[in-house]
Amino acid sequence: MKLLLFIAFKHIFGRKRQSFIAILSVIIACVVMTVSLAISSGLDDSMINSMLSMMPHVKAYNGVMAIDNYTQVARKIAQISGVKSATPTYESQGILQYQGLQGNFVTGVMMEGIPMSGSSTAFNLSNITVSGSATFPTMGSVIIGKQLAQNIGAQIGSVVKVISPSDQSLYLTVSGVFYSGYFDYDSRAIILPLQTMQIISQSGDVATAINVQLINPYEASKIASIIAKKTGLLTQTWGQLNYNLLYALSLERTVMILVMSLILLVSGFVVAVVLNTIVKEKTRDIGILRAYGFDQSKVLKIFMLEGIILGIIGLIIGTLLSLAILFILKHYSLPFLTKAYYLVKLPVKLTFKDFIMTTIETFVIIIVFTILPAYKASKLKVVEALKHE
Amino acid sequence: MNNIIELQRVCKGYGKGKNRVEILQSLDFSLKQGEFAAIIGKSGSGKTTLLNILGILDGFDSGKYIFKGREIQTLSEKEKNRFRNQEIGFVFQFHYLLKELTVYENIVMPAFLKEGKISKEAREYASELLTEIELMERKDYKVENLSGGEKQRVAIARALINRPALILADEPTGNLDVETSEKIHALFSNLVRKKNQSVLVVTHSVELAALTDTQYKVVNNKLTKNQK
Repeated sequence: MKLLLFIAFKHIFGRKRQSFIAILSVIIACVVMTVSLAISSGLDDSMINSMLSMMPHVKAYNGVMAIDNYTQVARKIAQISGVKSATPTYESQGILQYQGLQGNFVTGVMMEGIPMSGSSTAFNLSNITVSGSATFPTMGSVIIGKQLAQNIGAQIGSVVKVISPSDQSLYLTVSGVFYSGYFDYDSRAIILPLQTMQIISQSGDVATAINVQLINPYEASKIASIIAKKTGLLTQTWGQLNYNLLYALSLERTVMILVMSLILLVSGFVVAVVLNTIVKEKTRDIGILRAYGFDQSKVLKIFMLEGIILGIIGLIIGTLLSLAILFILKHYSLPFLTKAYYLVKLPVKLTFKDFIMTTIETFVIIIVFTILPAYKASKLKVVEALKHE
Repeated sequence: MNNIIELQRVCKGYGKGKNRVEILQSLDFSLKQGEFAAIIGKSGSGKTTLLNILGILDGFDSGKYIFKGREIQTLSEKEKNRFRNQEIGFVFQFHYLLKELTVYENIVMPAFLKEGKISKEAREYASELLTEIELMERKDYKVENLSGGEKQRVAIARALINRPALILADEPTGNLDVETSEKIHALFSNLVRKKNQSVLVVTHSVELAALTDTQYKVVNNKLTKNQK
C-alpha cells in the first residue's frame, strides 16, 4: 500500500494543474453544500424559534364554542407534567386605526386578549418586549408588534383605535412594543387585556382557547393528547397550526439538497475527467508498472487512491473554508444578505447530521466517479500500453 | 549448463481467417544460465513479439514456454506477475522510466514492489548499481533532467535491481547516437557478465550483437542460430 500511495501522490503532484482543478471543484461543491445547508437550517430554526416564542405550543379549544369556565380549565391544564403555563385567551380579527403625524393609518390585525397578569407567560412578552412594558398598566393598554408600530408610526403612549368584528370600538394606549422575529406576528398581532377583549367582542366572560406553553415544545403531540383526555377539549399542536409552513420548509430543504447534490455530481464528473486525462497520459507508465509485476488490482488501487486523495484534500479544505464562512456569517452583520430575511444577522446552524451527510455524499460521489477511470487503467493490456505514444 | 528458459514449438499470429498473419511458427528456443544472446532481424519479423512472449507480457497460440522448470501457461495471473517482478528485468528502447520519480526511486521501484518496502539489501545493491552506471551523484535528480544515455543507464540498473534470472532488452540503444550507444553496449555487457545473468537482446546493432555469445536471426517466422 505504501508504494501505491507513493505513486498516487507522485501522479497527483506531477499533474498540479489538473489536480488543482479537481480539488477546486470538490472545494466549491463542499462549500456550497455545507454553507447552504447551514443557512437553511439556521433560517428554519430561527423561524421556528420565533414562532415558538409567541405561538402556543398546544392550543386547547371547544370547537366553535367558547370556554366559559376557562379559569378552572387553565388551572387543570397547568397541573399536567411538562406544561409551563396555561393562559386563557380570546382571539379575534379586528381593525386598527391610528391618526398620526404622518396621516391616518388603517390596517387589519389579529387581536389576542390575555389576562392582565398572564402577559409574560402567554406570549413570552417579558423576553420579547423591546420598548415600554411587558405587562398592561391599565385595562386600556395594548401591546403591538414592532413592525406594525413602524408601519403606522405609533410609539409608546400613542392612542390607537381598535374596531372588533361586532363593530365595537375602543381607544387604547400603546404600552409596549414586542419583536418576535416572526414577521407575521410583528406586523399583525396586537395583545390586549382579556377583559377589554371580552368587552369589545361583546362575548361575556368567556375565552376562545387556552394557550399552553410547554417546557419542551417538541413534546407537544404527547401532551396535547393528555390535555384532550383530561379536559375533553379539542387540541392543536404548534406543528398542526403551522402545518403548511413546516411542510413548505421541509419540501424546500429536500429540493435544496437535491439541487446541491447536482453540484456534487458536477465535481465528481470533474474528478473523473481529470483522472481520465491522467490515465491517458500515464498509459505507458501503466504498461511499465504492469511489466514490472504490478497486477490489475494494484493499478486499480493506484487510481482509486488518486481520486480519494483529491476528494479528501478538497473535502478538508472545503470544510475549513465552510466553517470560516459560517463563522463570518454568524458573527458579523451583512445587511445585503440579512435585510431580505427580516434579520439582524444571518442565522447559521451546522448540524452534525448535515455535516456527516455532506461528507459522506461527497465521498461516495467521488468514489463512484473514480471507479470508471481506475477500472479502465487496470484493464489496459500491457503490450498495448507499452506501445502507447 | 541448464536452460533457464525454453520455448517448444511456439506459434503466434494475429487476426482471424483470411486476415490471419503468422508471426512465429513452431519456434524452438532456449537460453542457458549466464548466456548472453542477441536476436537480429528485419523490422516486423517478430523479434519484439518473441521478446514479449518471453517476458510474459503477451501470450501465444500453441506450444510450451518453460521458465526455470515451470510451464508458464499453467501459472495464475498472480504468479505471472511475481515472475515478471522477480525473475525478469526489462530494458526498453525508449528507457520508459517514470518521469515523476527520481533516478533512485526508478531503480528501487521493482524491489519496493517485491518486498513491500525498500530493504537494506536493496538499498545497498541500488547504491552499487548507481556507482556502476556512474550516476551516484545524480541519484536524487528527476529522470527528466537526464540525457538519453543517462536515462538508458538508469533503465539498465532498474532491470538488474531484483537480480532477475533473465534480462530482456528490446533495442536498448536504438534511440541513441553512436558514441553513447557504444558506451551503453560496453556497460550493459560488463554488468550482465559480471553478475552472470542470462540476457536476450533484440538489436539492429552489429556492435552490440558482436558482444554476445550467441546470435539468432528471425527468418520466415523461425529462429536460426549462429554460434560464434
